[in-house]
Amino acid sequence: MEQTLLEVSHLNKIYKRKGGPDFSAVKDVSFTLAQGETLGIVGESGSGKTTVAKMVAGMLPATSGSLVLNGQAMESRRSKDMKRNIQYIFQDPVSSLNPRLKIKDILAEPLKLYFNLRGEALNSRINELLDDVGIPQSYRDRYPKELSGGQCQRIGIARALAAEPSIMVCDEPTSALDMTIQSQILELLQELQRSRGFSYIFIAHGLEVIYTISNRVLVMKQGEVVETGATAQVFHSPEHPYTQTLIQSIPKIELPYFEY
Amino acid sequence: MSKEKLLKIQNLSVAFTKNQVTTPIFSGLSFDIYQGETVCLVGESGSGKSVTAKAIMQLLPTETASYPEGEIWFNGRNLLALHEQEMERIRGDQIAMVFQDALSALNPVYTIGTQMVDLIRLHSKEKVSKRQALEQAQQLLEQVDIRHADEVVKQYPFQLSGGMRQRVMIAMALSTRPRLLIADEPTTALDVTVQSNILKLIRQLKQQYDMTIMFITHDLGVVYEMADRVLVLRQGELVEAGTRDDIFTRPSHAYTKQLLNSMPRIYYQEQTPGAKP
Repeated sequence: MEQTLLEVSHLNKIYKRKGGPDFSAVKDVSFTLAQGETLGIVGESGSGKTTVAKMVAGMLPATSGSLVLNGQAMESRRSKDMKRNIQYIFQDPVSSLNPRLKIKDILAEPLKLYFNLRGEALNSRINELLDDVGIPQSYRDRYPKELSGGQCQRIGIARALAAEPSIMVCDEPTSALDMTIQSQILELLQELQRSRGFSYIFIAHGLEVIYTISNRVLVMKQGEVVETGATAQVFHSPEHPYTQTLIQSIPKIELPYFEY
Repeated sequence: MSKEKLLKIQNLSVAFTKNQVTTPIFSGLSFDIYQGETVCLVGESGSGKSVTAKAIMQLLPTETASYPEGEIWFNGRNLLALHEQEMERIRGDQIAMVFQDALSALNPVYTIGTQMVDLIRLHSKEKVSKRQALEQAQQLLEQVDIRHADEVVKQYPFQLSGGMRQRVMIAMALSTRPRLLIADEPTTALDVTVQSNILKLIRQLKQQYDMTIMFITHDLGVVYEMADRVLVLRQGELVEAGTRDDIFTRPSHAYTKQLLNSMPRIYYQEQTPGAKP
């Protein structure tokens, strides 16, 4: 955990409504993300988690506020390199892959776009990416529908890896998956972080997942940040009443830890 | 807990036929549920949890589903041998079900009040006027902690929040005072705070009505909070069954252990987040 990689200040998202007051989906959200850090965002549905994530990734314009990546302000029209630097992993692993493209073509898109790879160089890079996420190279000619949900999510991760970003925004990447698959995907993400030094912004409504993977946690409620702090601190001694309610609501398994 | 068997599934097989090809879903499934207990069925997608529930309710599509073998004994009667009319009386009357997705389980074009009134009048032994039924409906909604029940009966499902809709579903399931409540992932789509309220409500109503509950979930935290006994399913096979404490402290089957190890946990003793201690 070293220098600040991303600095988000006073981010707002306001939706205009006809014949009614405007709706603030995100209100004055500020946070920083350090190199190699995982920041978890928790909150109930409608709390603005995904809106924040999409604004960070440049998929949704912010109404106001600033985003500074590596000391450079990100304008609403981002440079190609800034787009490359922040990649997104989606909740639904199947619908986030183009059903009419083969796996190799899905992975080729960012490689061609950002690195202008062609021919043999492209081919071998695709194979490397498949190795990185634990998918057999023989799957390159398959279509997404021929893969399981967990395998599709691995392809989604490989596609994000292809851009060689410094930040990965993971929006509920495991909530559509079975538990044993979920733990495999989380392990893959952690391992990639160790070897490549990514920073993650990690959204999940499953608080146990956030606890397992995050260094720091941001708690959101109705568009606002109500609490932020180191994971252990937020989970073991929450300060804000809302965070306390949230933590108390987690179904508890009151047993000491052991490997089964 | 009395040791009377309420439900006995014996050597049950289910198969689906499509385009003249018959695919067995599972075979030889056997387990019992005793009066007054809460049994949790856990397993991953495709393990047969929901098919088991729907087989008990006889809600699998009759054109495609078949039961090559086995018996489902409920309260001394084999449900597989009953006529549809007899089954209709048991379904809803004695066995009720709460689904994961309350929005699609409720009829979108009728108000909550209309749907509840129809249900109450259909299942009632004596004649009930619409007005009486509406009063009963409001009482039921109040029992599941819905305030302003008089307003809610006039609303349509889409106007309610997810937690409210799930409460309405539970109120409808309870309207007939069923002996067995089958809850199929009732809180999976809900936020944790709402989930915790719904689980509390189910536990409290179970006491009040002396119900037996079959609870389907993949969330082991929920299992720990709810279950007296746990059944672990995998690809249509019952791999392990035991009391909650046995399953969580002394799991014997490798798959149960794998499931327990894969669950992300918050450690209240050890304080080392980010890595397994």
